[in-house]
Amino acid sequence: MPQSVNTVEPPSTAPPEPPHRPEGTADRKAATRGRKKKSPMNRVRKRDLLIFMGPWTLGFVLLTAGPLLGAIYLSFTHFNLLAAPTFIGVDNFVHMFTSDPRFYRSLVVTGLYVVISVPLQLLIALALAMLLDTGVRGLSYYRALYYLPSLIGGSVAIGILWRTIFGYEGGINQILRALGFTDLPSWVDNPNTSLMTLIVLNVWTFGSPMIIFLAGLRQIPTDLYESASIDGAGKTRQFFSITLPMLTPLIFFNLILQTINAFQAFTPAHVISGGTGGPADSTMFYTLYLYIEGFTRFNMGYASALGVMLLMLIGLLTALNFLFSRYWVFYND
Amino acid sequence: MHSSKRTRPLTRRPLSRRNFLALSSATVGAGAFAVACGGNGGGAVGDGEIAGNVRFAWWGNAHRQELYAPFAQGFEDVEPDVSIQLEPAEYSPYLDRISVQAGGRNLPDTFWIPANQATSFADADVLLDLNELPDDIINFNEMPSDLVSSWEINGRQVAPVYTQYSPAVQIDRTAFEEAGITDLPDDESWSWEDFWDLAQEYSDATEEGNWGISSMGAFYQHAHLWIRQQGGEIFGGGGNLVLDPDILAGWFAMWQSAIDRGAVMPPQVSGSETQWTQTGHRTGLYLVQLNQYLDNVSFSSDHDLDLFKYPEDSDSTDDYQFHYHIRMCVARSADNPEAAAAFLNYFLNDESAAEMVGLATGFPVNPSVIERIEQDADEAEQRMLDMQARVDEQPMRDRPEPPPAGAGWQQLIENANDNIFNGGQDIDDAVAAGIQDLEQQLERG
Repeated sequence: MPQSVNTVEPPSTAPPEPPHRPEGTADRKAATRGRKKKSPMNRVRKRDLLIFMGPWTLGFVLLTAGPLLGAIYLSFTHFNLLAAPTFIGVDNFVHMFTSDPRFYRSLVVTGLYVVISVPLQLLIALALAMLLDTGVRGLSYYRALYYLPSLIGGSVAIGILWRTIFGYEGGINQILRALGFTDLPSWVDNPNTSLMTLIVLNVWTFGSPMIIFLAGLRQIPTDLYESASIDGAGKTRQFFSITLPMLTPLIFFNLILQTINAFQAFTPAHVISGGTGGPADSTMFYTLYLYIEGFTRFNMGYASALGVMLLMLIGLLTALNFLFSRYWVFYND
Repeated sequence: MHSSKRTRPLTRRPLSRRNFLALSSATVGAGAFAVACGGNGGGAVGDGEIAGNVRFAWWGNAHRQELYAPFAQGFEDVEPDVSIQLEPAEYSPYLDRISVQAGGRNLPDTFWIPANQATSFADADVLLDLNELPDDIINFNEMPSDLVSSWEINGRQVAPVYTQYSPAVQIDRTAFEEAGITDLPDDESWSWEDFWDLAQEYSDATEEGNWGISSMGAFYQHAHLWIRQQGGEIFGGGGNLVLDPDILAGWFAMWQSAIDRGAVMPPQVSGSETQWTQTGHRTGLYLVQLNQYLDNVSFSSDHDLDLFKYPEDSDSTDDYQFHYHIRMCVARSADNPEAAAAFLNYFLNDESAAEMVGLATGFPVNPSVIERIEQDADEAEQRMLDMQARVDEQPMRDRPEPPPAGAGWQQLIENANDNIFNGGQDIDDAVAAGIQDLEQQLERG
């Protein structure tokens, strides 16, 4: 893909210039090396650094790193919330991999949810971003309108709405009955269709990646398209040879973010299944299972182990994404 | 080719790899998860003064919350130095909340606790033994002493019973009459076969979309009663799991057979919405916990909802009936334990409860309160009282409470039901998997 871009805008043949270095830099460095006392300017900069970094560092230590370390510790304990945790080594992890079918079931359900909903969501987000980028009037209104589901899609209210819409007497079945369909199921209570309703809900929250794509589309230099047009490239060719390669960093960014979000999806499954992951574990998201173990069955040590495993899983997938990104993500540097 | 807006990009600087990595790391880092843990707390009995703030938590729907809020706050008239802080919730989030609060050593001072959870909390020593209090704070004098001592857990009075109730069968007489069915069986002698025949008759007599009863195999208290009819039990006296898989499989097989013959609203139609308030106008029968009967009557105010005793087969045990309990307790961490306990005593003994909350959560254990309720009972309350009286005439063998971590037996019933009727799993396999899961839970504690 990047080669196509190069055909439109050939690289310069001039030899690269050496990096600019102000005269006397080496002498100044040598002089400061021997200095023991820091200048008042340095002290001010250090103070400013502490002031500006302090709140974030405090928040990170107290709200992220602290609980994370706590969870890692608890994952090696038996902790039922009521009594003090007792150290049990790696028993939770052994149990997870050797005698917990629901762990694997939740992995499969979450995996399907991620693999199906994230690409669909990105596809729709990109398509709509391109549509809005055609100079449509009232762009800001459309942008706000499409972004709205991203804000409310993960809420309890939308979960309840979804349950109502896809229920036996819900709006979807009312429409289908009016069209002559019979023997319709309750989509959220049928194990064959319940996950699909959650996938639709996630796809519906395409607004956030769409906004990012829209911004990315507007950053692609127009002269690329003009050159391609002069060279006789049609719209399709321009899309695959210019738009898509230039957007790959943002596609990659959205892919990472939405994958992580999808792995952490909880509220819709909890609301739609009534907190059970049913019917027949068909909506047993990993996070929901973690919640059930922790707060319904009081196995907080095991739930922590599940949390640590999820962190490792997301970390591994993200690392793999980064590893493979060099083969398909084009950076203009 | 492109709009003129393209000539005015927000910025012309393409995203560099370094910037991208920085942006990604920051965003990914912010998405890390957190699990909180609590420290140790606890307290001892205070200075004997009944004063201060008391946090009170209980569960129930909006109607129950409306009933209990003024009753709880009425304690402030009895003890003007006490201030009551209310913390109500629906049942499911309530359990989540108190478990988290227990972990954070931030339990409400006085709270309701389902009987199934009481042993777990008692075992963790987060509940105050009321026997440690001065004698005049909690008054059990109106209750039979053997009953009071039977409430003890591990020899400590940590969660006395506040209300109790039994299961029964609810029949929508109006719906049956509208369906042309007026000859109902005698509930002193009816069998399960009669029950299913009646459900079948209702399904057949009503138009499409109506069934005799909704799919209630997941209702664990009714499953428990049926298991006891077969001579089985969930837990033994020592807290060991004694559930016979064949008996439990029999419960689900009975529902499967009823679904197959068309007597039961299929789970594919009802989904998880099987409460009377969700299916009541499409079904005629319902297995009811008596503490929920008044809510159902309120929901179907234009229908005549009658109560029948449980069907029995000829080989059913005669002492299968039981009382299910809602218990009440004081947290060991309560800031004002005497005030919290006095508040609990108010719930147990104050006769104003008869008028203010009545039978909203079942039958108060205090006979004086029950007598007051009987004096002014309306038709629905009288039906409840009569049914409970008939149940109480029957012998009742012990019903051991689940051991710590044993409350999962409810999920065993619910999950097995879900896997069988929604997931298509074989009954024996679902039951065996459920029991194995519960055994693991008990083993892990």
